[in-house]
Amino acid sequence: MIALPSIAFGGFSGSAKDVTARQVGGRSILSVRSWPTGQTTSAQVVRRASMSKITKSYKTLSDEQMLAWENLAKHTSGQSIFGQKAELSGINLYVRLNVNRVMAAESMILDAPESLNSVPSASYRLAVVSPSMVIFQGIKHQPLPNKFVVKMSAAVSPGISNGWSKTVIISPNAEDDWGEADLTTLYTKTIGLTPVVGQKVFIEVYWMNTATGETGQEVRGSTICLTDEEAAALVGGSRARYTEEDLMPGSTVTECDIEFTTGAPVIFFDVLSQGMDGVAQSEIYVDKPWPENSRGTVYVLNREKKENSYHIGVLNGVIKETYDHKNSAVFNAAAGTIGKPGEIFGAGILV
Amino acid sequence: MFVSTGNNFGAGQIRFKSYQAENYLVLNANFSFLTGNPDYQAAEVLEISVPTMRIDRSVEVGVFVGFRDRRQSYGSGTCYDGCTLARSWIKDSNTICIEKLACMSGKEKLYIYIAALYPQLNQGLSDGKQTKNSISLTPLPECCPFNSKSMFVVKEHWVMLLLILGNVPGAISSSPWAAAIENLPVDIQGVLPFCGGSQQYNGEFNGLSEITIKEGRFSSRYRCMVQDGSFAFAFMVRGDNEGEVVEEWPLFPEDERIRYIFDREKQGEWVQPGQFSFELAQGLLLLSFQGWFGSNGPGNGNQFEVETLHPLFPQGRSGVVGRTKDGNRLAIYDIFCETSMNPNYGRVIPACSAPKDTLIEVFDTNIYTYNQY
Repeated sequence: MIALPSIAFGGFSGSAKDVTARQVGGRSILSVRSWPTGQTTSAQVVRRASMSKITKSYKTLSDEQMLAWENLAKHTSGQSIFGQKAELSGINLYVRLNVNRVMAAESMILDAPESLNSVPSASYRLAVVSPSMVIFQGIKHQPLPNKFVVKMSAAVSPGISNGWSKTVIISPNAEDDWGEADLTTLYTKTIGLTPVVGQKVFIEVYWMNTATGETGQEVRGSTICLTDEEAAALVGGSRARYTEEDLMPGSTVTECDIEFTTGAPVIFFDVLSQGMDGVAQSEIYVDKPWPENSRGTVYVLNREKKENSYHIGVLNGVIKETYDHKNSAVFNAAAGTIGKPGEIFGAGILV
Repeated sequence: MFVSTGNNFGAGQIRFKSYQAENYLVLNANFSFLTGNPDYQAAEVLEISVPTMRIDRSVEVGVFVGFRDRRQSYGSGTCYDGCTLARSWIKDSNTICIEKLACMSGKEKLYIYIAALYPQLNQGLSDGKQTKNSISLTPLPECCPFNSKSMFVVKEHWVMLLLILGNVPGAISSSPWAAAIENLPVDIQGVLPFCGGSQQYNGEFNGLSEITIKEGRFSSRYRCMVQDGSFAFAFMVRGDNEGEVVEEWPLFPEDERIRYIFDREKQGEWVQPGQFSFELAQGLLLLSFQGWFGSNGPGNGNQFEVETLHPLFPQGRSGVVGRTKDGNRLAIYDIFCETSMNPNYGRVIPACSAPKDTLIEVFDTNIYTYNQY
């Protein structure tokens, strides 16, 4: 037992057996002592180590810096588990914001920000989990420096209704890809287990302002792990995009991002073309069909990417399925000067 | 139309025409700025602050960046303007970004031409194939030919225009080019870059010229190094033209205009009088001749010496139409400009087929001479 002044006279703090006591804002608070329920994950080890380091670094601040943190903390309210606003101390605020920043791979801030702004609530349309896929879709975008933080649990029994305490940070700074975030690799690496079909995964998401470390309201949800086929059917049809992963042999481009799902009467291009020897032509072959009603001739701008050469021109690209069933886009010079390598970028009009 | 609220590269206020859809923008703007200003020097990306737009981000698209380079070459004022593309994107609902190009460092002044459609991604399948209109010209007068890939696409709120120069016959290479484009909506207007052509002084860039689109007509404002394959590629906003003045043929700013004024009484049998002004735009291509002079008869010029020769004083012969001062007889005359080996000496020699001592009045004040094609 820890020998400390009696609870009755206040001032008791520390843990003994199953009780933990602490002093907060002049109040004595007793709670059931919590014990770790599972093996500490590597992510938890890293986080606890950084929190300790950050906490210790507060003591190295100057008096002026500490005062600034105290002043900022007075204007910032937190909420305790009792539902009452509790005062945040300068060190609390310093640690909280810097833990978030470090988690987002940002450097620590030693000077208190002038003020803190509210961070928007997170919103997404769909979270799809399967043994080989973890994808969020329909994320309502927030501009930088906000980043999308995702916490998820391992797959558990579908009968469990409250598993959010089991969530860990999968991605501290997932910038959504036009409303999508593919966290498959990060989930597998962090959790270490493949989701099992039929089991439930708990989810918490929020936006974090990486410039200050502030976070927005957490949004909680859950999803049942689908089969890979079911998951692909849900996510696959929504976006007509072709990247390097889709390129087939014979393609003369080294970077490729072509998207038909702009919602506008144009196709988006961001392609690095290497061109061909002796022919002012560039060819792209992909392993999946072009979208319906998207075969024709597209006109798009090209800029030479070569040292000391910045010529520009217009390419016409013929998008089609060849006689031998290849999905191809072949670009030829239409106007200007087409140098190689060349950046094909911007909005192309299909006629 | 909206105007910018600021920028981080020392440009003044920038006026934009726009069509703002739910998930894309079409923006048109032309502006210039000096690169020596400290704001531009400090900027890593050029940012323009604007009133809240309908979309809060976009992918990167191309906008044109150009510079002027006018100099004497082989005795003639010649245009060696150049251009390339910069990436541009919507950063947030109040910020338009333009890539700062290292290749433009050292250019004193840059000209930006924005005629772009800024799309987003993951917004649903595109409309697919658009209906194109071929270019059919009514020459007013004879106009340059455009090749068969040239076309335009008409949408409710914007037009996509692609003009690609074909092979120009020598007979019209020194003429103004202007024509009506059949079925081109009359509610688009603007000055567009016309890109293309290699050149000896800025060979790493395309040549830069300008064209005007107005009231369904195309006109070639000025030409630098144009050749077969020179092009205009633009998304142009329909309507939204209130308050915008687009001159089909440009008035050059004062510092680019060169004017000589002659006022001489008859000074001998072969030294005719003359009272005229002779003006040209720097390096160009547009001569203005107003006034009258005395004829020395067919085959004999009437020489007026030029003092303080401008570095871009043109060489060569240009033709205008005049009439005798009694108002009756038409006379065709030439303006012949000449410099000798002495770079400080020049002459303007109006010559005419009218009989000697006839006074010729110039009423066609514009002479178009394109000395580069």
